[in-house]
Amino acid sequence: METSAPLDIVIVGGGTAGWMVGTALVSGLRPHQARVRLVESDEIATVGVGEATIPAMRDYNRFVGIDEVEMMRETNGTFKLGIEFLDWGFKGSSYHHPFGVHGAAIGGAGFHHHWNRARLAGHDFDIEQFSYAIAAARDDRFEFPNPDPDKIDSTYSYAYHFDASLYAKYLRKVAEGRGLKRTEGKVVDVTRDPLSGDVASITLASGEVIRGDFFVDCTGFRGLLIGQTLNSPFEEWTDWLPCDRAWAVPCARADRFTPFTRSTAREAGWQWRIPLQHRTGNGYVYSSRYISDDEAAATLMANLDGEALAEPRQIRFKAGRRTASWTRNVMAAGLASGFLEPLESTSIYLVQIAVMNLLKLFPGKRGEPALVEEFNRRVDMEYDRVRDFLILHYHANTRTDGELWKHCREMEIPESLKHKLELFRHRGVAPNYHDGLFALPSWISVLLGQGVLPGGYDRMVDNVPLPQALAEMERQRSAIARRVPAMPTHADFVASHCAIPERPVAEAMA
Amino acid sequence: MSRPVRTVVVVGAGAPLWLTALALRKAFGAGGLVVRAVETAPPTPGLSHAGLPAVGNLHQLLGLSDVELARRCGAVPSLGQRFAGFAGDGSAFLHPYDTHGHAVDYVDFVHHWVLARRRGLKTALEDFSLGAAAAKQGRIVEGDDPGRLSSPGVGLHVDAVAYAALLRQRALADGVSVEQGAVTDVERAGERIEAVVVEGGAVVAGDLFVDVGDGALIGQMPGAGFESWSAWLPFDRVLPLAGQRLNTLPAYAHIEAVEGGWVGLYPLQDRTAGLAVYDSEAADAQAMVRRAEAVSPLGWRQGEALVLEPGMQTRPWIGNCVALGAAAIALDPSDAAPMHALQAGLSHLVTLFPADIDGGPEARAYGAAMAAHGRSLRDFQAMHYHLNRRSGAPWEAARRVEPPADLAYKLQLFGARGVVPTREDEAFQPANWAACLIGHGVIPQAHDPLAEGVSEAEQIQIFQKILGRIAVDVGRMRPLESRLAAMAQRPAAPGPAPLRFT
Repeated sequence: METSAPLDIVIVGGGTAGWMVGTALVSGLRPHQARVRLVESDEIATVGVGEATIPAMRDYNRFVGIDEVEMMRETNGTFKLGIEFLDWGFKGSSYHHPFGVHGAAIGGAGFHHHWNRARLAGHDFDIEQFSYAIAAARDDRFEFPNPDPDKIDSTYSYAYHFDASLYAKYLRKVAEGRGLKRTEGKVVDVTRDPLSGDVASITLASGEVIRGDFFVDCTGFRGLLIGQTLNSPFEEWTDWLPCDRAWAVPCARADRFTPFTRSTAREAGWQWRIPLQHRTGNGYVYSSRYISDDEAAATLMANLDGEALAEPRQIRFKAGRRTASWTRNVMAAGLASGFLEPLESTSIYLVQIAVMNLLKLFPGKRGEPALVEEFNRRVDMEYDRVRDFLILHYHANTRTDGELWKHCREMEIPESLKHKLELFRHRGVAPNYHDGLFALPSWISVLLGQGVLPGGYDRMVDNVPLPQALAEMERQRSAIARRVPAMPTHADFVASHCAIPERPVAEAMA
Repeated sequence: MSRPVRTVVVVGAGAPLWLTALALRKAFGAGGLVVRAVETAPPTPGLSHAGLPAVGNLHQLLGLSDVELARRCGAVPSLGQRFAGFAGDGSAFLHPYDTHGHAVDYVDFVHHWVLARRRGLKTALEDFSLGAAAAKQGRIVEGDDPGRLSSPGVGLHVDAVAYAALLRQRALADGVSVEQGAVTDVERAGERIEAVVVEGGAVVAGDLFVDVGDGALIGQMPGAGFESWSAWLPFDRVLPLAGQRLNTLPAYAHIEAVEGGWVGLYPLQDRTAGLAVYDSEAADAQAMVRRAEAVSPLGWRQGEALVLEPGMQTRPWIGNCVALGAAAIALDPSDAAPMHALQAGLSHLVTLFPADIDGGPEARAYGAAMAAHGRSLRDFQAMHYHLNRRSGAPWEAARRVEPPADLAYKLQLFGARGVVPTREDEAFQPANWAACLIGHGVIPQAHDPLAEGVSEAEQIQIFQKILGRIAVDVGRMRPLESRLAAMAQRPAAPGPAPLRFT
């Protein structure tokens, strides 16, 4: 009963999603198991404005066997310790969502519970001073975490900022080297098997017909196979996440070379800032319900910390996901599968979990409905969790400007999120999932950062007398404060570790 | 301003009562929490408890050492459970507290085994498990050895009366106070219990009441409800048995399906503890004693049969009353599930210990976590019954009943492809499910095609290497009997310093 012939997999669409899927498939599969083809058209532009990632990205790179230094050089990459959120909870507020913990447990009780007791007793510590990742980020410093878990500088993780289109280009080299066959061409027709209803082949403008056993739809928002051909419905989440457009523009690298993404809340959305080696990516994500396109573009251009290097480009989208991102013999990845705004840098992660789950639930020649159902269950869970986490950023605000913020504050949120908020407000308990995003420290940083302060704390805190706990907190804080200044700056670290080769400006800009 | 709980009253009997009282005291005692135990009855004589490996963490938190448990409670470590008679054809399998083999090229070993079986392999899945091999050879796992093929977990069997006595002594030494006697009255205003009145007239007041007994206290709260699981867990009687000590103690429990129910054998140091779990419409105590004798002729003496109604409280936390253990989730004794349900409940109660005397969102969160955990335990038990191939009532009926939806989904996905779907709050890991599903005859129809990345010759080599490593690893382990003898000789060292709940 062994699969006699390899499965013919056709990926339609390149871009970051297409190349991530393709590279993982040719890295995880042997030639007698699958033949992987990717069809893309140079005529269709990809959305490449600089992209931020989360630490899970490193698992992907490890799986496909990518050399970090090489990848950083090829993609103008920089390091990322977290995200700085400005003006989110209220105007003037600032907090970091770090890739790391806030403090170490004391007497078995979570650090944030001790912090909260201290706060309720009138000791108003800034919890961010207990996060190594935040202290390093605020100081624009970076180095790799210490592998010794007893050391203070082991308490964080990191991810990357890079140019996503260069990353796709880099992956293309890797994948083609491993046997992926790329075909240039525009798809003009899709044929379905009249009996099974599965997608049977695609036809290119050149007239070439490409048959496949399994198709991966990476055609972006239009979802050529998953949507236009198989009509998998799209579930909209725009009531909760009303932003539906963005302007993106690169600008010259600023003096401050931050090892973090910045997200600044604006009247009708938020602005991203992603530092790359040779320039900075910027964008304004906004809701067209609350601001005009022109006004949004003007806002973005007025808020750059370097000279604009191009005209702003507009992107349109809709928050939501396919109700079944694997339908029949088609799996969608990237924007064809769903869209969640890049507020928590999850776009690449969602592609990653799609392809890794596809490998875990790899189809045979005959379709198996149980595998499809399980794949969709796993992907849905990931989407739902990220969605709730994003909604939290919008909902927990006390901003007085802008209708968007009033709407988000007053809107009915998903039950799942409502319960999490209640529990945290009451006594500081936050979700701690077995797998998937986001981990406990992420919830704590965003909840506290958005101004959701717990009225109570874990009772185990009381086992440690307050003065003793305060002394331990002070010890942790000073350990961080002592160690961070010894780190290299992010700029120096990148320059010595993975700097892009010197190139004429014109070429680097291309 | 919040008002913290100052006094918690724990109502129940036996080990569940004292585990709970001691655990709450260890978790919150230093912060001033007063724990009062209401001991409604002495522990049931002749009973034993079976604990999964996770119970070791609880014992560590409570400061109880293995040596102490072995010396004072006749405890015997256990590496798994052997299931016999479920197929009705004399076959048996072992559910080890361990994984099988190791993943090859990111593909779980089970898929490689399914593929190899198709290519003609005759070796059983359990032979590729270090834990199962050790159990069958009467060896015991001690300490962590990263050089081993895998890290088998160690559960235990313990005499219920001695275990309760040890825990009781520890709890009292740790400052828990006790009133003895059945609860005769509950002083309650709406959702708030003020006090329970104990036989003899003592009034025990508190801020929070924990029902770890028969569920009567939670049951009298307004809004309480019970979800019955008897459609899937068909046995309504549990008969404690005691038989002679086995000559050489096995390092596992033996569960054998018989006419009308099943018989469990749990080796203790001084005797073999037994349980007969049956359907009272299909068998009676006398018949079950005879069947136990047929399983193993150990001269069984019987205790008093206990009535069992499997199911869960739909709201295990109402007002200031929290249900734990059997009061919240009533399961039959298979799979060491009752102890596991108690431990999970304790862990959730500690995490969600009310921040305020007037309660809050903790009750809902606790209820959701308990329901998820309870149902996953129920599904694991129901799996054994659903997959039996015996003839006669109640086994045929158990096979015919539509399984709970989550279980049906697991069966379908595993049957099709050898994948175990997991959710949050699962009691058992995919390896546990795979061991039992395959043991009961659910062989996946297809393996992960990626398993074929390894050629047949390579695969044979990998399998032989695994079997070789298991032989070496087991050879380095002590026989269970020598381990027990060594513990009996060692001076009763004080237990390890208690850790903290995290």
